[in-house]
Amino acid sequence: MQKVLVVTIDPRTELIQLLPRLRRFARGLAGAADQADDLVQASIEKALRNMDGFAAGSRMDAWMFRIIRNTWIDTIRARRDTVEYDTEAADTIIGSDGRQTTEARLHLAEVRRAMAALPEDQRVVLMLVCVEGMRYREVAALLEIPDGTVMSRLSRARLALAEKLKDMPLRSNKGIDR
Amino acid sequence: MIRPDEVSDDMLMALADGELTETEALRLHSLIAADPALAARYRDFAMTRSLLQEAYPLEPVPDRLQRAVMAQASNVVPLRKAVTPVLGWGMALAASLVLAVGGFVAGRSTGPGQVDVAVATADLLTGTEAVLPDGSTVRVLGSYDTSIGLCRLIGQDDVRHVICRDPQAGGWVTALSVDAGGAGNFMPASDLSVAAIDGLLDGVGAGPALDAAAERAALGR
Repeated sequence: MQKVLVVTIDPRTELIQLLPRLRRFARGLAGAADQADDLVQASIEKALRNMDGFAAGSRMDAWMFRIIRNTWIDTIRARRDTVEYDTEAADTIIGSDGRQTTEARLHLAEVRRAMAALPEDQRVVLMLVCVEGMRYREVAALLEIPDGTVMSRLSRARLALAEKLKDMPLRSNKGIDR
Repeated sequence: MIRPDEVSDDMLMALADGELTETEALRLHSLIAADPALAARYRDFAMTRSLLQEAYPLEPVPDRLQRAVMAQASNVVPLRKAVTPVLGWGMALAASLVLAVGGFVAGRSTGPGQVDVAVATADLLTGTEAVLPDGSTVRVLGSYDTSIGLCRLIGQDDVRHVICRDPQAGGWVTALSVDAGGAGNFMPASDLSVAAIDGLLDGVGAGPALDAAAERAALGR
């Protein structure tokens, strides 16, 4: 009863499958959803131009995360004159979620806002380890930094985030109490 | 034996991130259970991880990003086969697609004389296992109510199948088969297979895995 069609995986097929995760990662870096989408689109274009640089059989997710991060750093550099970029991004998040007034939504928007106030390098490791579930050594390889640096950035970021979230009024949301 | 005041933040964080061995994790968990101060420190690491996961869910991808991937076809390696079925999650995919991930050759599951995994597991509930005539072990990993009907995640040795009920044919179709990365695979515990399965299940609007009662009802037992 099984109908089967075998398709050999193509880099672009793999890229399509990665899109939800790439977007999520970009959201962690860029904050607002539309900026995250711009970032992913720019990164895809860069990746397609440099497909030769992708070693077949290696992990495309790690390769794409690196491209997105580098593209994002370029974007920030290009906007050097824009002061307090992170704060702006955070305001945009709150604004865009304004319609969704449920406690949980509000709460999670506050988490994203706290995240947006962290330094760039800390946000990268937080997204890769906590959200993407990558191992420390994988993140170290991706960012080309020592394992110890990954851990120290991650630890500082976690404690800073926990501190910011402690200041929030405690909600009945499941996230904060467990 | 390590004392509670010797437990570093790095150890607690590594525990929250699943970086410790089972033995280390068990030992640390028992220390945490016995020491409220340690528990509070651990909670900061565990809480930030779970909050971030909730704050950054996987979401539907705007068309423009999919178009960006499919654009500029002339600049990249030629497609070996049409990949359009992958573009639309849902019926197109459920209509039957085996993704051969990396070097995985779907010989066992697609060759003549194959054992129909869907039929072999039709009476099995989540968590139960059976050995098929071809020697492979199948295990039902979950059943999901989706927008296209009942779908099930089945493990067959290192391969993961997502099968969905096909009301028209009255049987099951294989929506996806991926190598989950066992011995000999170049990708350890392939994230791609996880992403592909999650992507498919998200794409067809799968809810949480059914509990035993709901699963039994869905299977008509």
